[in-house]
Amino acid sequence: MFVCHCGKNIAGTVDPAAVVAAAEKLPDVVFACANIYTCSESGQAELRKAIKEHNIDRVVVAACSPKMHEPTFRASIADAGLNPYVLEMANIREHDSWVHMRQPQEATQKAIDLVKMAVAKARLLQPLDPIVVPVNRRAMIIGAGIAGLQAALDIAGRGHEVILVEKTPFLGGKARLLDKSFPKVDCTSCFLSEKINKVLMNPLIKVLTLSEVTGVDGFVGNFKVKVNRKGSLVNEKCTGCGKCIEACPVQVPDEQDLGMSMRKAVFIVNTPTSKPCNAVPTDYLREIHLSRRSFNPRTAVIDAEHCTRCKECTKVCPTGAIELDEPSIEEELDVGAIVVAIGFDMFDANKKPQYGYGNYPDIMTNLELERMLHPTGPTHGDLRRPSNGETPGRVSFIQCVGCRDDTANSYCARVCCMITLKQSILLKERYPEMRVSVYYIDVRAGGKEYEAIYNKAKRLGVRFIRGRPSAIKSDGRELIVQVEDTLSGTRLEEPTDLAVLATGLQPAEDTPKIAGMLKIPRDQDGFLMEAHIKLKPVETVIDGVTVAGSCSGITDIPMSISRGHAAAAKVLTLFSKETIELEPITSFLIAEKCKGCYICTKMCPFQAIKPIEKDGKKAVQLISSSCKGCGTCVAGCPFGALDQHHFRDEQVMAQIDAALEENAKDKIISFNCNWCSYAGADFAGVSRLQYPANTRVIRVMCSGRVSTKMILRAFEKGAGMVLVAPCHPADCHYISGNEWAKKRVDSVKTLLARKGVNPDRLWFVYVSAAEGNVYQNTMIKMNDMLQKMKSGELSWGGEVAETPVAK
Amino acid sequence: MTNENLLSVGNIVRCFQCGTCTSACTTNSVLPEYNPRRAMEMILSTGAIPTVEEAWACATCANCAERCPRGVSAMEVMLAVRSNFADKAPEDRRIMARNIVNTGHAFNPPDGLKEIRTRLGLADVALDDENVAQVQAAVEKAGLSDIVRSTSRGGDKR
Repeated sequence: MFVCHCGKNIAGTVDPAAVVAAAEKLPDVVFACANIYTCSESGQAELRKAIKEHNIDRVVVAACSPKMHEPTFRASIADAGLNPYVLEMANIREHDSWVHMRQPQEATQKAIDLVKMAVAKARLLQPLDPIVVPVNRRAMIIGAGIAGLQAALDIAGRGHEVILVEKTPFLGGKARLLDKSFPKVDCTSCFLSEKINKVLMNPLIKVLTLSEVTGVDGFVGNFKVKVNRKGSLVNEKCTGCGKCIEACPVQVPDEQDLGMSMRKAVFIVNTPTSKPCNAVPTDYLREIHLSRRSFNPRTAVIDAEHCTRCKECTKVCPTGAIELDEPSIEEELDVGAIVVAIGFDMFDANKKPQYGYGNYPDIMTNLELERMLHPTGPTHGDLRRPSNGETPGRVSFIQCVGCRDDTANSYCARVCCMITLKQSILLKERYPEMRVSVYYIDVRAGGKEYEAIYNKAKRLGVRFIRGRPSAIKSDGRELIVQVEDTLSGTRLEEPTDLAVLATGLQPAEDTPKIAGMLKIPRDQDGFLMEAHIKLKPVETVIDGVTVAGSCSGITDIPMSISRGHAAAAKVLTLFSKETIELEPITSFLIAEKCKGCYICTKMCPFQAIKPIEKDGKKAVQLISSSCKGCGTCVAGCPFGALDQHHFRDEQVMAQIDAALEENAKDKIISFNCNWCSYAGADFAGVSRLQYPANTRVIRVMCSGRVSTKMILRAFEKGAGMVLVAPCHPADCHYISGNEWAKKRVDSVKTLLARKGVNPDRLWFVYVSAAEGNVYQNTMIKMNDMLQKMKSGELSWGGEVAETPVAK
Repeated sequence: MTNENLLSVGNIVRCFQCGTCTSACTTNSVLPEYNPRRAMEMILSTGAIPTVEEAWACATCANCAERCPRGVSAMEVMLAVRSNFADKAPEDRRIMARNIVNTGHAFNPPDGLKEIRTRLGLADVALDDENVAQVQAAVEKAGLSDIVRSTSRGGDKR
């Protein structure tokens, strides 16, 4: 039994000596000590030494969240010759010292309880052998922006096949729209087209444009991804001659120029679309590249949405490359790892009507300005006022549009200051006489070589006015920026010819969809969440799924590329072996108890339990390799014929009993699922959100594992209240475990009411991994209700055991 | 009222001095001395409390709160100061208060209004005695009578 001080993180609130003293008194505990940092090398050495000296066969570490250091300590005890699965952690940091900072006594008592619970479970832990599965060493990358391209190059560079899925017909993401990029203010397409060409030339990288992921199944090393591929309506015979474009009568706004110019319903891209992935040999792309002998394979793409099927193009196409009836296809692709690089969207400036975007033609966004400055943009690089086509004499940049704003995105998008500095420099260099003004709250130029750009802009004479405009108005003749110069306290009404809104960046529209399919939680701002920002950056809670680029938080181009490298490195680590070890926490069958009712077969979302006939009787067969280890079937079996490794009934029951040994009535038993609500409670800890110290969390893999028996046991032992906290309805990591949990809780409530127990003592609250505040508020509200019951204001209902019944 | 009380009003601690409130402020556009951003800054950094004059300069248009990106309401802060120092309210405001107690209106209806309204077939705007009595009872109950009575000038008579 090892208690970690975690420096002052734990020891600042909880008294480790008292916890050690209490642990020493517990039966079967042969050794207990405290370390300043148990996870440090010296702490782990002490741990290994004690295991050997005292012949220890079960280990409890009371420290941080197991989501943080369980792998560390498992490896450590394995070094000392123990099975890694005889370790149990008591989370006395995220769930205790950090959330009860003003109640040191209660926090210490809670730590003692959590240790008692962990010891009770540890006593019953069994050694387990990991499940070994093969790794499919082919990767999928979702999103062909700068980060996705980089990850593809790295993985393919190591000799592995890569499938690069891109929704649009283009490679290069948002970066391809940019003229210059900071910090060097150099040409974006120079480095971008190099990467695009390398990707296109690499025979190991299959590029699927106009394709979208529609479903994901499987697990690390063995994912099955459904991809819907729209036809480009042009086959590989296309030479990119462009005759079809001349013939096409349809005009639509060009998305590349954000609608500032028009294009036809057929247009040229540099990316050939390939044939069905599974049906085509690996060297397919190389063949078509070689046949064109070009680094820039040009091919036409037809915009199926706007094409009127008039067939004018088919008449002029010299090679017969156009197939207007090409259907979209759905493919299921097997990959071992997935890199999510779906990027970001720009904040919609229409949502800030005070800035007049859409109302006055001479108010544009920073990306629109970027297109205008781009040689391939609507004005071929000349800055023009949309209202009259003249070069503006005065340009005003409005910073933080839709950022650092509670009514839009409350975070700072980090790059908008740099975009404005870059654009203001470009303007001053091209138009030295232009009056360029930047209205800002803070200039955030934190990054390598960024301050130098700020200095350069100042040197070139860009005006910086510290104040966030409240509105841009028009007096009928010209635009007027209404702002306070906060440094002098002067109200200004400054006329301008062109106003540029530095709109912020936000999660891409598809983020919730992708997050839902992959079961990756999103943070409070809507970005995909990394497993741990420092321990596991670019990794997600789903093994084998990494994130790169801006989809997990806004990154600039250099950082997006770095994170593309990082994500690839994680994939390559996985691909360095032919097999991978999975946690052996699957369900198992106790065949003699099975009555063949088949309830479990209906509950399992992974078809891991099959109904069979054995010796003329109904029975089931459990396929361990398909089992994901949620335990929903275990909780659902009415005969106790199923159990789950590492979360056995007796282990969880022992935790419940240990938690409620003393003052049961004052306590709240909280069943948290590993993926969402446990992480949510951890997040409350990390955010130091304070709540009453009477919660005792029991971790299960899925809320579906919480059985009727467990809930009733808690009430039998006198628990004041019980919470079952699952993932949000569509977010269950086991597809439907939380639905079964909901049904179960509803039926237990009815049962409680029948037994005369106030059913309001059982709560069911969805908590995501980012909702530390929801967990905090739930705990506060549950405690309020508990106090009302204690004061007699509310009824406990039925018999409440004053002292727990000894077993 | 202490500075500490004010810190819990109108989300003031979230203010990051962007000046949106001041440039949106109705009063500031005609009275530059009234600067809500600076008032917030003084409260936060020097522990000052806005003066009664400042608090009553606010037109309570709520533009500041409407435009603030941080959910701060300078208006609420000003209203809190007004409430706390109600006994120090400017003379003209107290006369208005007295008028309300006496007649139910902040200003007495101008001469001739009654005739015009009668001609147009509209009812008299003056409240009847019963309604005025209710206003007075409410003011009494709220403990505002002393403040209302403490004007040096008599105010309008009914």
